[in-house]
Amino acid sequence: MKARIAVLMGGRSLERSISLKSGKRIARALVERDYEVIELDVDETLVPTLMSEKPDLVYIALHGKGGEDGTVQELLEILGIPYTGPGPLPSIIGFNKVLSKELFIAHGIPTPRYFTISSSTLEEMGASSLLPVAWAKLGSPLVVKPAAQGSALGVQIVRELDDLAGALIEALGYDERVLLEEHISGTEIAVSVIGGSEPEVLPAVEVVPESGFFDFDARYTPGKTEYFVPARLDEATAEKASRLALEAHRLLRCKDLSRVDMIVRDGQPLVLELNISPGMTETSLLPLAAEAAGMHFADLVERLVKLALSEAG
Amino acid sequence: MSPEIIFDPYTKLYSEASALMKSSVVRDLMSVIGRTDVISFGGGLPFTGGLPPEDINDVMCSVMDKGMAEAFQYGETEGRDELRRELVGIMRQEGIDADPDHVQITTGSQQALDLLARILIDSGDGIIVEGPTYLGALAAFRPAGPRITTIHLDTEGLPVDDLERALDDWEGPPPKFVYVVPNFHNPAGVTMSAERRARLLELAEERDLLIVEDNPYGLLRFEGEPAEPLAAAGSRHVVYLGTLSKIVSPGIRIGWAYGPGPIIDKLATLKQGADLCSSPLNQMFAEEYIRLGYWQKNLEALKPIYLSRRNAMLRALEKNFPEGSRWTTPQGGLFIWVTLPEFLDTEKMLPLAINQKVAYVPGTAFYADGTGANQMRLNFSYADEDLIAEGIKRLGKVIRKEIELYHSLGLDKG
Repeated sequence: MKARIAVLMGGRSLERSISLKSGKRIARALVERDYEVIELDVDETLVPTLMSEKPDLVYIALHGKGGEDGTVQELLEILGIPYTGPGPLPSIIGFNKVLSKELFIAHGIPTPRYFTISSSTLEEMGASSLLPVAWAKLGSPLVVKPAAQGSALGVQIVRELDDLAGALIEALGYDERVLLEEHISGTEIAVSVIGGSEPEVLPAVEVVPESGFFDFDARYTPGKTEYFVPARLDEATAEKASRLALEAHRLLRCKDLSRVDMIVRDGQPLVLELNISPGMTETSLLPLAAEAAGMHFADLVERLVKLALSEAG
Repeated sequence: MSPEIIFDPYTKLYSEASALMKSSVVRDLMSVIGRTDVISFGGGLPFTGGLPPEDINDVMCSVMDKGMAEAFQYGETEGRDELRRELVGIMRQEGIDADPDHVQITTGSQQALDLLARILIDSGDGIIVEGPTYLGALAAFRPAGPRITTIHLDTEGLPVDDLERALDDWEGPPPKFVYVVPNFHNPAGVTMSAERRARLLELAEERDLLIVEDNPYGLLRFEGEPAEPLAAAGSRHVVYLGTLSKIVSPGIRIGWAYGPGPIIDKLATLKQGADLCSSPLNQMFAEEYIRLGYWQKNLEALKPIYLSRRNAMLRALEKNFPEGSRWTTPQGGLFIWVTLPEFLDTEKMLPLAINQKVAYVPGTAFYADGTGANQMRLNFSYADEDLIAEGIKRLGKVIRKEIELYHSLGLDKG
């Protein structure tokens, strides 16, 4: 008898639509592999539903706040239901770019230099006077991003100091804390790691946005982005990227799964962030990487399910 | 820069026209508004809770009695004669004396916009729209590749003098058409004055200009005196678009175009390639619904509901929105248009609002010229009075918080 799996998707996060795509695709794959599947669009009835449905496992296909930041993971710990992907701690850290970057720095994992600024420091401590200082220290252009938000929502490249305050306003729409990060021009790659005691590093996927900046438009407008898998890196660099991804994965104790986004400058990968619930749509990076490693989508999904079930017990 | 990507392996296959279509962050964010815990003023959803099931049942039975075979078969591309006659009856209520043979049934009036764009616009042709304008019209026109000129609205609708000046200064081949929504404008909420309507018709005559008059809301007047549609003048310069979406239901997808014979013929020829015909089942439902008089009953039931909701929203805006904001007071239709202090950007503010469980549509979506950053469209037809009060209260808080932030960054001097 195969397990009963509840696939959590949708929710109220700003990445709802991507999550619905990921979730439905995962549910189809599980049905194909003869699992009993319950699809749940997460709302205020989630906990009572899980308590009455008593699934053997929860597959977390949520992206963004609520699903990727430790919230739903904590709740599943209380309920005692096993779930796919990393636990609360890596989720909390991975979703918060400030926490994860600080950890990377503390452990010698290269990451672009940055400062943070929050709406309360702006409102209560006059932090706007700091903007020219940060600008001078980080150099231009610089990248403004919300500390906790996925899908590059609110992320902008700022080329003129005069545009910085406006960019902050936009980023602060997504989170009350914002990163000002040194802009690195180089090759953007994503390296996925699938866990177990001997985690496997999948081939790097390279992202080439036509505009040079992988923002929301580049993602959703046909013809604006190309990708290469495996990434066009020399062997030594590819090896370095794999090693770094694995290091970051282990450092945050991601156990089953993570996708580490990096940028490679002059043969040196720098880690931008780590995702614990990467997209699983038809054209998302993790499934592409898995495919390149000879793993079909349903294999990938089933592998993550088995990992979670075996850890549970 | 977290590549959470929608990569598209078919990129090389897409047409140039498809590149003219716009996708946006806003559209993605709006997927959240379908959730019950978000009070949405974002959609253009009419209230359909007032369609009594027994009436619908009556109409359905009548359709089945009339002819299952017809209902489930292909139909005429032009649309069913019976329905066209009923729609002529509806137009007569607004003062239009139409010939049913000059009526083309479409799958919602949205299809009429699409077909019109395709029979009239070549890439690079000029067209004129209002600012703001109906966002679905922009979506329909854009893939044809027009150069779009915007004439900004005021409280009396389209300032015809501004249009005239734009025509005086026009360079190159004359514009293919002027697109207007004279009644209870979506999104602006304003209505074109009778004087301006008369002047616009004169101008169309003088300059040999085609006017596309979109009138989805004309019959939804809950206050003030009716204004005659442009098409009532019988001018050969007007193509009129009507729809049952707001007076019966958007789900039956029945709209129509009425205008000069040659243009209607062209529309029919193109529609053949687009979808052969609009659903005969839905057409039969519509004609029976109208014939049996339910549409008027529904319309009369809607008016006091919409009036009461509009009033609730006006009261809430007065109470909760900061100084320096202004809004329109529509006498019908579904929308109030809000203008906030100049320096604010409603698109940047949208995620904050959604996090506070309230949604609206940012102003820029309704302009072809990139303006409208400090404006927003609020729908008052869908949420009830209590939800409107609560939602506007939340939105007021979001705006005040945003103003504080602009202030602390020294950006509130605009």
